[in-house]
Amino acid sequence: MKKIEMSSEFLIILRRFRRNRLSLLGSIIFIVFVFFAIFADFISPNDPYEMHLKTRLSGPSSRFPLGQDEFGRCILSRIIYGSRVSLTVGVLVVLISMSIGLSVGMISGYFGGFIDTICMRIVDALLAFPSFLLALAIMAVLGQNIFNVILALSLVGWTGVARLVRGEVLSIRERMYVVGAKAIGANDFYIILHYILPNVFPTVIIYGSLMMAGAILQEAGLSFLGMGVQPPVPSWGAMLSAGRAYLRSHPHISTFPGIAIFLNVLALNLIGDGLRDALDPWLKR
Amino acid sequence: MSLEVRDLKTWFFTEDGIVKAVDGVSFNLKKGETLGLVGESGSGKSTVALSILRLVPSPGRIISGQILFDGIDLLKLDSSEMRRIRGGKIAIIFQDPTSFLNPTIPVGEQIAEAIRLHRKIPKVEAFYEAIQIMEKVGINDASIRARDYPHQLSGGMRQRVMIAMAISCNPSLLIADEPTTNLDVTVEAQILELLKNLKVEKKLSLLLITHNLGIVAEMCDKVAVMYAGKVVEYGDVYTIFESPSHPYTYALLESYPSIRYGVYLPKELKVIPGDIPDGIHLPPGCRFHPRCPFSKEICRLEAPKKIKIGNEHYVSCHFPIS
Repeated sequence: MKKIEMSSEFLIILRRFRRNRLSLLGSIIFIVFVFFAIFADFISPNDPYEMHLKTRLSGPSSRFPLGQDEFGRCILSRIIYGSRVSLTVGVLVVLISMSIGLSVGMISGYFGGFIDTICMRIVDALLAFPSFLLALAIMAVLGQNIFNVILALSLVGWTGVARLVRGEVLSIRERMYVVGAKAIGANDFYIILHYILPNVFPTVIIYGSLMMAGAILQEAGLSFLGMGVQPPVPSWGAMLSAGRAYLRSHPHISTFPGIAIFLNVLALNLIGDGLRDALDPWLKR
Repeated sequence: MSLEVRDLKTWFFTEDGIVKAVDGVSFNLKKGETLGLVGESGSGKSTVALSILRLVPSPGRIISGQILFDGIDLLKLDSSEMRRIRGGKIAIIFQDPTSFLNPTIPVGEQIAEAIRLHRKIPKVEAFYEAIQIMEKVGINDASIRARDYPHQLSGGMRQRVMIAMAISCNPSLLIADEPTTNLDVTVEAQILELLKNLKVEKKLSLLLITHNLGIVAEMCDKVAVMYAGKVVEYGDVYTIFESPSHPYTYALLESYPSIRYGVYLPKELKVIPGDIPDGIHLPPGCRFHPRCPFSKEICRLEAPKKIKIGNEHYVSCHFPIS
């Protein structure tokens, strides 16, 4: 019975999501990137690490569709492999930040008082730092690899979720159905799980899709500054940075990874937009 | 089941001052009886209901008094004991079923959850039971409707769902806080009929909060008339309607069109001049005196005591109408 419910609800949301053409486009772009990430070994035309120093810096050709970088590596292959880094970072950062942010935000907002003050002062302190600088500092301390990138971005990312969730909970807990739940004898844990969580979920999912775009950008930024994923592992941000020296003479080296970042972020933003419309409970019918 | 409220005081500590929403309310309710709590908006009726369940929203607090439910003072219970009372022994239905139902859960599941909060039974069994209760409260095609979300139902249906939820754990006291105010008259009649039947069938006691005197006459055995946080008159429904003693009760009845002995008696409807005072700036002495046609010097100086003027008929007035 539960299963039928869930799937019919899911179908309603899906149907409404599909009505929005732009979001559909966004999802298609995003799915293509996911496909790249999963099947990189099969679809990339060349080995992303193999250098062809004789033909370095050359533009698009039949063998290297998007040209070669400063070591003669295939840019298309590196972009395809780079989507692995970007998506792993994006997904994991969102998941970790969501778990921490949701828990802290719900507890803080629901119980209020002393707990709220403590949690929110911690959040304030973290938000007071420029988040990118904080991530940079964490990377400098922990050392540069992909797991530390995820850790650093999650540590700065959860605060936004916590703030957002707390605000939502503050308004939800005053709603009448929470009083109604208390009136039928529900305890706090039950109310948080069955009444608060499902009602903050739409907001959080939308925020998550936008946050993923942010995390991908930040990873690119960290790698651009040499504080992210270390070479020779392909990362869009690092590729962008490597091409910087050749921007005038060989602009394709930076342009194509830049387009990849742009498309990915755009896709996620479009999805976020569509989700907001699809998940709005007042539009349900 | 017996409910006895003694000298209940629930005050709201707002930034503008203390709002004495309920200020010394006493009444009792026996098994199978229906008590009507009547009064204008802002007289503290709903706060009494929320106080009984100890769900007064902040900054409100119950200052003093006793709420004896089967002899146990609810105000002295700890929170887990209180949770067992809520829904299990005392259930409430609210004025606005739309905002009291969780928009993210299908109604059948909400009823099933209410059952499972008090009885440890499997989900499927609770859902099946929920469908049966929905049928009992007059929802057609209950097994289909159970999978609907609250927004897919009409107002009357939602109120039926609220009632189903309230009676799902066989409470002995049902509090109905203006259960039909948001419904149109035909649906109102159906809901009242349903409440009446349930009351007899389940041997419920009913605390009915309303400002509609027609509903009181129709449903209640006893009436408590509230004004500005106090019960000004208390008695059985015939006494109150036939020979009201408090000038406020009298004025309320005068302001309401009446049909007696099946005949509509045209009369001039009288307005009670002025407004109900806000809970912060209460007039001294009798709280009704600024609006009372019979008020004298003493009404301004001294609050009237509760006096017994008949068999279970009490009034708080210096000059009760006889």
